[in-house]
Amino acid sequence: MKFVIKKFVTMVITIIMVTLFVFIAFNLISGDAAISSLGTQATPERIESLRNELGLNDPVLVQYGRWAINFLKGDMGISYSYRMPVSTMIMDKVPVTLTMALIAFVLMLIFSIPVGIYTSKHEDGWIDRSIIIINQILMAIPPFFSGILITFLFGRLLKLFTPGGYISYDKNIFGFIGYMFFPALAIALPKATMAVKMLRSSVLKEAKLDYVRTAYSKGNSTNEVFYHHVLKNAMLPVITFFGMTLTDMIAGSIIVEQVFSVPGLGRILLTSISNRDYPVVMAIIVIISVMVLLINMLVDILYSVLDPRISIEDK
Amino acid sequence: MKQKSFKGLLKVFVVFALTIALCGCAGDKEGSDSSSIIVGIPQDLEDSLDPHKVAAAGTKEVLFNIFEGLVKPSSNGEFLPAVAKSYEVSEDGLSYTFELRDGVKFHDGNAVTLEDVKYSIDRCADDGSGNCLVPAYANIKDTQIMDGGKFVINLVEPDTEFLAYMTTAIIPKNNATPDTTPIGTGPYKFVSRSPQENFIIEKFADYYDEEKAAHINTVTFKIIGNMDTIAVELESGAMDMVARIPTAQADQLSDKFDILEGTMNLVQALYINNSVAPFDDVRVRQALCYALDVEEIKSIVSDGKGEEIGSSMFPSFGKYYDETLKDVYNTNIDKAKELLAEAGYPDGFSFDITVPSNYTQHVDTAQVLVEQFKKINVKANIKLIEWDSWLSDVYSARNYTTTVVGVDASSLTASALLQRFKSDASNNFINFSSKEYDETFLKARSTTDDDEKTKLYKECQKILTNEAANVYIQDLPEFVALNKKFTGYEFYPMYIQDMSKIRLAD
Amino acid sequence: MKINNYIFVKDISLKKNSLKNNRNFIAGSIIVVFMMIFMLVGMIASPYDPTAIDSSAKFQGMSLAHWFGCDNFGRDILSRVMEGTYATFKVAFGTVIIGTLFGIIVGALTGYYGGLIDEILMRINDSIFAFPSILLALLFISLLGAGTYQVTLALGIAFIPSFARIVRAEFLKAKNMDYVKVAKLMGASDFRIIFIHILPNTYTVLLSSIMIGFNNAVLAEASMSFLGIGVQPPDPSLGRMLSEAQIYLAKAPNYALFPGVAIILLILGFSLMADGIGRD
Repeated sequence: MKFVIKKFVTMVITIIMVTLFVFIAFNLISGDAAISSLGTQATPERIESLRNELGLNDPVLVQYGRWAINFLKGDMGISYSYRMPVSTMIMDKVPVTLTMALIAFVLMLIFSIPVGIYTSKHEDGWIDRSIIIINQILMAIPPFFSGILITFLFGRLLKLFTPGGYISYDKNIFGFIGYMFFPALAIALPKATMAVKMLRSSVLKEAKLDYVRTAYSKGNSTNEVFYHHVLKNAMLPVITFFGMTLTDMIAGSIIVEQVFSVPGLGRILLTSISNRDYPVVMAIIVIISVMVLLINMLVDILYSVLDPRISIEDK
Repeated sequence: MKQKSFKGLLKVFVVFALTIALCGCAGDKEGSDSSSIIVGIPQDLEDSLDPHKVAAAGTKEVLFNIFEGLVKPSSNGEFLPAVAKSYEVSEDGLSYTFELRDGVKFHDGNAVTLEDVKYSIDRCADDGSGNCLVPAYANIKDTQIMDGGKFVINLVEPDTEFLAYMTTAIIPKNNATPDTTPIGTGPYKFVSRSPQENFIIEKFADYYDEEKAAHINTVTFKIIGNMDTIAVELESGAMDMVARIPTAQADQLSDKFDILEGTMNLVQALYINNSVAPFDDVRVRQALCYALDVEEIKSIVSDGKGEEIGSSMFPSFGKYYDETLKDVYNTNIDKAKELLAEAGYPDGFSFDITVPSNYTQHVDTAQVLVEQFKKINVKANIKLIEWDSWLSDVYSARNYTTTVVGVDASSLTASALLQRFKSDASNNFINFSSKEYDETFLKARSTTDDDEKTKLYKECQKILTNEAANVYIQDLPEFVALNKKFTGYEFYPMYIQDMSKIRLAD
Repeated sequence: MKINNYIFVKDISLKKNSLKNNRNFIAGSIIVVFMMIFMLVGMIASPYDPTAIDSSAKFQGMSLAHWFGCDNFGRDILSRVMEGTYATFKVAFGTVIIGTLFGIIVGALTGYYGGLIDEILMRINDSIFAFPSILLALLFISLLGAGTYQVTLALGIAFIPSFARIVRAEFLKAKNMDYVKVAKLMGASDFRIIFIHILPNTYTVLLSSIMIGFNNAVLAEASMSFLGIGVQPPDPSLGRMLSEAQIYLAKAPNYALFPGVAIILLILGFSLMADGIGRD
């Protein structure tokens, strides 16, 4: 309980710091919502009056305080560019990004666990070696390039999906998942290859420990030792990695959303940053950070459940 | 998890992947419904939907289908009566009288009244906090509702071009949320919008003129997230039409599509901050003009298409456009070097070109310019900048040396393009200053005789060219890809997508 | 980016040396040296001027005159990939130098002294993690301006936390080791303990994290220039070439292929070297 409270407090502090940073950043970068929404029709008088209307002339901390109080009351404000409530604007897009991250996560699991186990069980066989080499090369492909490659291969050559032909989830849920599979694949690929590598080395390390040798000498079968002892212990660091990956997938989808034209949180974030539309940016950042921090907390708890040697109170 | 189950898992994975991929294929076929069309647009409507407050050209071109003014521009540059049945201009150019058309309804079913008209015009002259939303409306003395369904606008100074500003949208007085629920009188009515996804409009059944009513029932404007896959999307049927399609994408389309060619109606130029050294010397500006080779730019940036221009005016403006000006500075490297030497820069100099990074055609043009200026020993450095930073640093603060952009006309009047070069204009972002120009321009604006006016406006253009106010390049080509199922697309001399003209091909 | 640093280093430091790992290192070095030679050839004897425009050579395919073909401006892709590799190396070196230098100082101090500073730093670290990197990049760009040096500085600063974190972990471990305790008893100053006693003992971890730093810097530079920040056109950069090439994918796949392969080789080389070093 003490742990949960402590985690919660640090979470709140982190969110306050992030939002404050964002606010200050918005004040430092050139341009503001008034100039941005008036565009080439701006006159000094109209800029000034719109700034007053939006409250952009107040000191940063006053603006921040006003935002924070409204936010705690459940009011995310009105988008400066779209002029619509931020909440309705964003809530539509949360499922999009979450689904993409979840599909990517599942893909990563189904790819990395079997491959990781296979290669570690057949260490130094020719299949293992070739998998490791391919794995290493796949790991070196930057996400924006793998996006291009996937579009080219599955979209243009194999025609499995229409690049850019995003289908909304409230229109056709199967079409939606079918489309999201491919951007998810682009996100999953680098993470899965990293996971394979980690899992393999973690298993190999564990397999060289004394207790494993003892278990074998007691006459246990290879598979039994492997799955009951080695794998169970070797999974621990990998689980932390999986947790962190999930957070990374949620937070880092901007480029992939761009390449695959997915109207998710990342793209709204990107356009809102360039429109200097801070109510939207702030709301998205808070949502993403809360998700990220919650997942981190869950990973910590899961960790201690799986390994009784570790108590979360120590951390 | 035993070894066998690994193979099982792999099977599950493959099946999973395949089903999902197949789902994806099945979902694509939407949009082939004959009474609807999906139009790709390159940018979202990140804007207010209030027609008086909207700023982005990309939003205006879509809202054109929803709103109408007392008059409405036609594709050949004339003004047709719309909400007004007819209009009269007094001989002194001081008073405009409009007669309201009978039976015009707003999309919410209410009839348009003269109060709505007066409200709309007055709102643009003063939005309630002292701002004039249409700069030309500063010239309005008063507006009056007369008997017999007539509406009069009186001006302070005579202005024979004022009709061009009467395209201001007529909106209902009682709409509480004009920012998000647009209600107009146009051939299409608003249905929904989803940020970064789409904007949907539907045929307005009660439109007053059956001949001009829309043909297609539903129009979905789909926001294109990735410009590189436009051709694939069009071919698959995920989109039926894209205006301003990049040539590289248009090249890839099959004969299922018509590629229509027009121009963007922009003055693309290397805009120069005339008050910054060394560009405060006219000889330096002229030298850059002589170094310019428009043909090379056109062949690299747009496969040789595009319309070379020599001043701040493009061909769609018809009688105001002077085509001889594009030949004032023909490429002449020796002449350019000579001018530079005279100005005191025999060894050249170095300067920055600030370019908004989201406009590929301007970035590409700037890259060619850098190479062309190298030939006269002038070193140009490109600085890419975000559009919103461009608006604040370059356009508002004028804190720049040169920039490559395209400037459009906010209305169909010559003064819309030329007014900004008046030395005291608030949007004179190039800091151009010429007494001769100011005088000629004012004279042109106040003249009521049309021939005299045209002549004076041409004079203004000539001054801009001779002074080398900017290095004028071209009016960029515009390509529209339209599925052959549809026909009827019309180019306008302004930034407009008129969907009501589009109909099914026979 | 931040994650893999942490995990890999933790992972690598536990490994024992073996022939196989050296093989990794050798393979990695070969790739990196190959790319450096490729870059040097470009600097000394580039086949063409990488920015020279030729409208008649637009989209020329691969030929003896133009090994990698020409781009949409008729510029020689081979020369541009060479020059772009050089630009990437430049940014990567600068970034890693700034990142390690300050990362060591911050990590050493917080790890060694702990307490409040440590707590604050970890919170800042967490916050930066949640901060959108695009906004961070934009922030730096509007403060410093766009360009190669600015991007190097911005990335360098952004890399400090992850280096600091690694160094901090090593110092936390070392703090309670016997040799440090003995040094303290002998009256050595904190400065001496930190820089003379502990720091040299962390070299394997440092070296491999520097290699991973290169790896991430290459990736980050490519992503930044892919988004149009960083090296300004017409000067070539691998990321920007890739993003410009996207639109011509159907017409000229070679335009995207070569810069893409160059990025992959660089990342592959550095990551293999990182794997190898940690295991000696």
